[in-house]
Amino acid sequence: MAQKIVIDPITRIEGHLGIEVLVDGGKVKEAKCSGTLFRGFEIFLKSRDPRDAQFITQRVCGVCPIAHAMASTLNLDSAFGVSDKIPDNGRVIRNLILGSNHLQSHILHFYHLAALDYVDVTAVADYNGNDPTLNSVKDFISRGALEPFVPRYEGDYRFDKKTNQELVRHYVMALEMRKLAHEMLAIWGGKMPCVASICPGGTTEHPTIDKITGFLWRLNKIREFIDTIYIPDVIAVAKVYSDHFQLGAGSGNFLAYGCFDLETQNPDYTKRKRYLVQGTVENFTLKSLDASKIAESIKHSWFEGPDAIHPSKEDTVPNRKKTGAYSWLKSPRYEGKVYEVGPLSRMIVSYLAGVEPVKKIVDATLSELKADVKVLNSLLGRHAARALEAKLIADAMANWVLELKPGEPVCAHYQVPDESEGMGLTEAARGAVGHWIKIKDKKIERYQLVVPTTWNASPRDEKGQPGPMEQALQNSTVKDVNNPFELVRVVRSFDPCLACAIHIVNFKGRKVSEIRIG
Amino acid sequence: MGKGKKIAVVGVGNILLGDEGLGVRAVERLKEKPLPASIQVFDAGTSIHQLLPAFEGFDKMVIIDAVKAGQEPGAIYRFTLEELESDKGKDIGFMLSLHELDVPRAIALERLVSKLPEEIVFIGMEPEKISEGMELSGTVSKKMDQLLSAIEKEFG
Repeated sequence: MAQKIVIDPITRIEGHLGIEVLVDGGKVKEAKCSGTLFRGFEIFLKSRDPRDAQFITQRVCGVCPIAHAMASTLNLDSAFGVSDKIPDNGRVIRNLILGSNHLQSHILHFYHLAALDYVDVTAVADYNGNDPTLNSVKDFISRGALEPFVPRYEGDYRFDKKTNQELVRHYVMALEMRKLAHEMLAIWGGKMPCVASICPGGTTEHPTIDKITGFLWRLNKIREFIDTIYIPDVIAVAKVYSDHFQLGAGSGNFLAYGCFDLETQNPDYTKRKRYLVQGTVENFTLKSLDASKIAESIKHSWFEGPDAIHPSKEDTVPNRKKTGAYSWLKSPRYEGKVYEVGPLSRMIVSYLAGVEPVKKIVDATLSELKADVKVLNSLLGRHAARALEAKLIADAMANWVLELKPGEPVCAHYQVPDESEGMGLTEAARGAVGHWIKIKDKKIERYQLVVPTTWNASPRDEKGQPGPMEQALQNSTVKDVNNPFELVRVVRSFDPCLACAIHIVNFKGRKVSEIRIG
Repeated sequence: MGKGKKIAVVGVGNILLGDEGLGVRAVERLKEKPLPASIQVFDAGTSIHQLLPAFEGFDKMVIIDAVKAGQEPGAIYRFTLEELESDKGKDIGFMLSLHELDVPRAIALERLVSKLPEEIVFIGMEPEKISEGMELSGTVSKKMDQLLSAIEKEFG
């Protein structure tokens, strides 16, 4: 008999990704992903000064503020008519800010979120060596502070004790790397987490020799970590858990807006030369990206209005009582089909487009794993793509930072037009992010954001097609319905950012009167 | 005041969701006041986990946040990190996304590589209305002065 599994950790954080899965005989029959938080930020952007969009939209998400700052700034560049006038210094500094953020995010995602499904931290309790890092973790655990290390669902741990201990050491090193990436970003971004240095026309931060060298030594430490630790660890997991190549295949369609501008002469972001390129892939065949083919269905979302229209024409009208709806997420589709976004999409698009460094490293990895490119459409494929992309970005940044020219301009002048429209397309660490603006009387008339997790965790569309994550869950098996760790792993592989924006501390089960002071 | 004890006052929350952003609104108000050089004020937005390394070298952290503890809206709370952790006990749930790397967990992780202050105090207020909008609710606005006094008590 079919059994229903509900994964909905809503007790700790409000506004969440709720997942409902129907399992029959170990096979997932049906999966529904539901965004449980209304995020109609678009509504109050209306009537504001267009320049506020950059500061407001980066507050939308605690994980991708940088990507929203980038997308809104590209959006304003295009609406203000300066997208082809960004000086090279401004272009490069923007790339360094976004790239540092991607490195930070990818490393954190693998080690601090995903790895604990595969690495048994309790192995460190028996550690008897002299490594100070492992001893500090051992001390941490012996004080009963297992909390950050224990996933709720039991995993199947397959590494031996010594390998587990070594991987825990890498876990702590990864925290150091994240710290370095954060410092790299702060060199160009100034104040974090809400950066003010990315602005329409370019950046406000000027390059100096000190900043360039400060960036480069940190970057080189991270590059060494990626080459000698991160990628080998992902490959080790892929070899030991090779059955996970059969879990979590998505729709098989991949979409990338591309990122890291290599020139700014072309004002059209869908055609501009980017390091990771724009494109769509269906049946492992590459097509060029046409942003006019994007439409958002609201058939199964708690919104009113015309269905399946382009984001630039959409209004945001919530209706929590709508029948047949089960999510606050809309369903973005491309040519009416279901597309996945994220590092895997970027790698597959750039691979098929023949981007040389991408092709080289993907081929080398596949040959080491004795696997065909098609296995990348899987849970493990997503982790592998993230690791390889980290290397590609880090290596490229080492060249880009040396292109900076101290003393030369970083920003072009602009004026806010009376009326205009704009579009900003770039990539957050977890996938394609697009912003659209319409300006009237120098004020925002309409603003829309289509964020990566909306693509990936979208509900069924007007044709009844399940979203990418729903399909990935439906392509999975569950050994034990009381311990559905496979499903949690599939969801994690997408690096979802749905709980965006709410993070209240719940302080329950205690007599608050004792601590109340006001 | 403070006798040179280095204190970081950190507002967290999302200003796009009304009272959810009360911590950030409180530190915005605090920045307008004359403060001793030993006290630094930070707006961490919703990304405190990204900012934690910046608190190395401080003697004390005071985190200002919206806190749901079941009292009437506007109620002010004070508790330490240790109290928060002991309350949660084993009912910690699990992480599906990086957003769930909540504050106590993020601090516990960061302490493996950074020397964060020993003393970490939360000053919180019960929200009235959490929904899209950049304004605080009437109740929370009225209690802001009291919240600031509660924060300033930590400086002594």
